[in-house]
Amino acid sequence: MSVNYAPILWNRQKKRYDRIMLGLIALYLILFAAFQLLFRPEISPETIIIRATATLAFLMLHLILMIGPLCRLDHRFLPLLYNRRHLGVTMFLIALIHATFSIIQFHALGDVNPLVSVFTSNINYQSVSQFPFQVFGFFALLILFLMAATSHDFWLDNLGPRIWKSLHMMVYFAYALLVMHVLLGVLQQEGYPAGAALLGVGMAAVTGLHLAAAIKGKRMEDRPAGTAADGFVPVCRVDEILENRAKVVIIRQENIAIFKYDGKLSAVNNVCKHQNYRWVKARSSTAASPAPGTATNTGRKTVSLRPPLQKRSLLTM
Amino acid sequence: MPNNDFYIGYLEKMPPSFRGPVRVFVLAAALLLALASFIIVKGQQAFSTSTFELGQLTTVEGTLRMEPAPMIQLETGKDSKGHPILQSILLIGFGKHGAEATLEKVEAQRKLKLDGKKLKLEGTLIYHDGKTLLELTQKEKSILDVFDVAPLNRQLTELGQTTLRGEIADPKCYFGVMKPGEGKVHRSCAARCIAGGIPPIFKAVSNDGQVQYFIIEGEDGEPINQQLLPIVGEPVQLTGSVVQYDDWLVLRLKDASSAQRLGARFMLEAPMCNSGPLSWPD
Repeated sequence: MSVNYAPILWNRQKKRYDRIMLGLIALYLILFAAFQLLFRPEISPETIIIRATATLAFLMLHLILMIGPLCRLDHRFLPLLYNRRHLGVTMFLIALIHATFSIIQFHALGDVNPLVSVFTSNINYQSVSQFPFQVFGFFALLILFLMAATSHDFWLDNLGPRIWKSLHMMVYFAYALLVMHVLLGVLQQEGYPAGAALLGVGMAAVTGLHLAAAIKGKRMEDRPAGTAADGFVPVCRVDEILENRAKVVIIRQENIAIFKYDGKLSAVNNVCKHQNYRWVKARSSTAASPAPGTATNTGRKTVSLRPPLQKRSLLTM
Repeated sequence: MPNNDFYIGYLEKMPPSFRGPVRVFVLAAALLLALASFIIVKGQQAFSTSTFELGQLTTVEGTLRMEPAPMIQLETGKDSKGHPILQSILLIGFGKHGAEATLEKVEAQRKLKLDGKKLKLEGTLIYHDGKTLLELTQKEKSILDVFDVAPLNRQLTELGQTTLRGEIADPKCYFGVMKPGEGKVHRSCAARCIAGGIPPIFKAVSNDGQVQYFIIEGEDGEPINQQLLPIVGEPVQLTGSVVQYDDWLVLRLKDASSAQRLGARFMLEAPMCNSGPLSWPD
């Protein structure tokens, strides 16, 4: 028995997602070039490419970072999340065009290797205002490359959820680096308030949505406290869970969904594998637990759990 | 009543109740991208009207001068007193390099000294703000012919000590190849060009916003490109003696390390301090 990986398992939704994404990218590039030629006709073609790809990739990163919290606030945004990796890989490729053109334009055909020049042509590392902003962009691009290169499920399986998720959480570090890249680069040079305001709005939107999602998540958390002598935690009455629905509870930091269907209850870990869920840790402690993850039904029709869960635990009423 | 729609990504269609929020997001993204492109473009500083005739080669004939930097000296006419009006075209190498290496190779190939000789050159013109440069785009092949004729006279004038404020840039990018060709975003490129042998220029700004350009060299006319690298592309104050070579001014620095950094906001706020005898163009 073997597992085969395909680059992309295309379906109608994915194709529409990519078509809309490419359409929006084309819209931005056409508008950006048209506005440049209309308002700043003296600009050079290289500068149009460098600035169009830089601003497009940074705007796309903002949208990418907003999708996660939007889905936690309203699950009807989930179609945006499911194919978000397409958006991420495309954003990296656009950022790569920006970086390649910039390195060729500003560092190539000189007396040292262009990559060496990125780090040595401005050596004011001790100064905040004169700090070489290119270095921030270089390391952000490196993170985005690692994320794009490992975005396929093949890497999730081979790296393991812990490493994979840790690597992909570095997008927030990359975002911070890019904010510095923009602040100490073009914003410092151009000094225009509209650009600073745009960056401020973007940062506020990303931060605000993450905070709102975190607050909502906190409010919805159900943390049953009481523990019976045998280690079972009463969660709720059975009739509190609708048929073909689930109730989510957090017990001992473990996020658990209890499903009711066909007159049965099932408890599963409520965190996706790629989110670095605690499965490994739970499984490792299973040996010491005589009946892990099982649930009990008391005479009062109460659902009780005793984590850690097995991979999938059937409950009885 | 709970929403029974459940999103499954690998199915062909999304549930109908999901379409509204997704459409709102796509529409908002389209509006954001359109608005951002307008704000970003409108908010940029204006670009220079400088010109780099990329892909277009021009032939020039004139006397080669190696001081203060490789230049082709042309006589463009006579003034009212019958004196020749001289223009010097600064020569630049291909890429981020000065012209010296190319000229030295031609000297070795032809076994003669080129300084003071009349040359026929082919290259790419760069020009802005009354200054013209020629890139030796085809390297040694850019020197088409050498004539052994009497050189043009030079017009040298000592203008004395002065203190100036402005920015050190590389003339190739500043006068046409890059937009912008100055400031922090261009600093790395300017440093590479100057490290590669392109003569550094000082763009000095007067208190009423007028600009003059100076080729920078050491006290005795020696190149000091490497010493200037740490202060390229940032506002500085320089003190030195000024010499005029035909239509180019040269600022000779006693000590490059005596340059004073002025801080990032200088260009927008501070007037130029001109304590010397230089007169600024009307």
